[in-house]
Amino acid sequence: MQQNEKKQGTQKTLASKAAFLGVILALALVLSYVESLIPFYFGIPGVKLGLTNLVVVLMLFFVGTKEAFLISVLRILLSGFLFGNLFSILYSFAGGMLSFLVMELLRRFTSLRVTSVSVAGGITHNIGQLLVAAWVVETYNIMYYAPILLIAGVITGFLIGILAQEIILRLNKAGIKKDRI
Amino acid sequence: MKQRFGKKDIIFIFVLLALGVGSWLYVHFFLSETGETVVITVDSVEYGRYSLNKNKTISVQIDGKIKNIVQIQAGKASVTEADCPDKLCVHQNAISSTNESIVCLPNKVVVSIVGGTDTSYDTIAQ
Repeated sequence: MQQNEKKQGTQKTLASKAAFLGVILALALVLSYVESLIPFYFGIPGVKLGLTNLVVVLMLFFVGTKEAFLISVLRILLSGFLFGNLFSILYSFAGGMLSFLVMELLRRFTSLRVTSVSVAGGITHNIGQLLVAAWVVETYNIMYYAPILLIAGVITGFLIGILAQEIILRLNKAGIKKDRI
Repeated sequence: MKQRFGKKDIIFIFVLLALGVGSWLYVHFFLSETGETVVITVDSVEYGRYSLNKNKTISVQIDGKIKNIVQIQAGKASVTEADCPDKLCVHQNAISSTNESIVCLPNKVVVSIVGGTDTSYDTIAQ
């Protein structure tokens, strides 16, 4: 009798977790779509708002590494199929995976807060994409744009970081768990 | 968890920003110079070289299909049309310095600028 109840309890948590992740993934995709609507042209390649990174950063700090990774991979694939093309998926993966790795390492092994982690994420996302682009067209010359992407990464990462920070702080205040920003 | 920003964070972000600005200044003021020749490469193979000072419209064709249209005008080169889905290349600013480039990643077309004296050869036998 008790075993049955326990089993049902775990099943409920798994189902609710799947549902939760589904909603988060949908949110990430919506942000991706919104970003594709805003004409963010600076006349320089690779400058993006990175709104979707908000979800990844939030998941990293608020939920967990595995979940954040899952969301990151899925949203790259799905938003690539929905709003991009095969090429864009390649670049997204390069930037996304590199930035995820760096962000998680910083979050886990340093006491840097969300904003700094997000800044690092923004930078590595841009640099990662630039590196893959340079590799694809076999032109190292485009590394000329690295400094600009560095600066853009800092700015966008900072803004996303502030957003994530405020969200987490308010969620904490509302009583929903999680310890540090 | 109390403060929003610790000293570490401020230093971290500031250093990165300084690195970015510093490297940009260096590249922009020490490594760039106004170029003379426009080089277009398709998939790493040189497609053509054109003088930056002569106005010209170049259709970059791959397998008989026009992929990108490069326009040289008033000493600057830009991509005016492209058949790629994102058209990022079209939205880029016109280039004229030796380090700038316009890349159309889906078509693997790279438009770059080189200086007048082609330094990759020591001499060219006539």
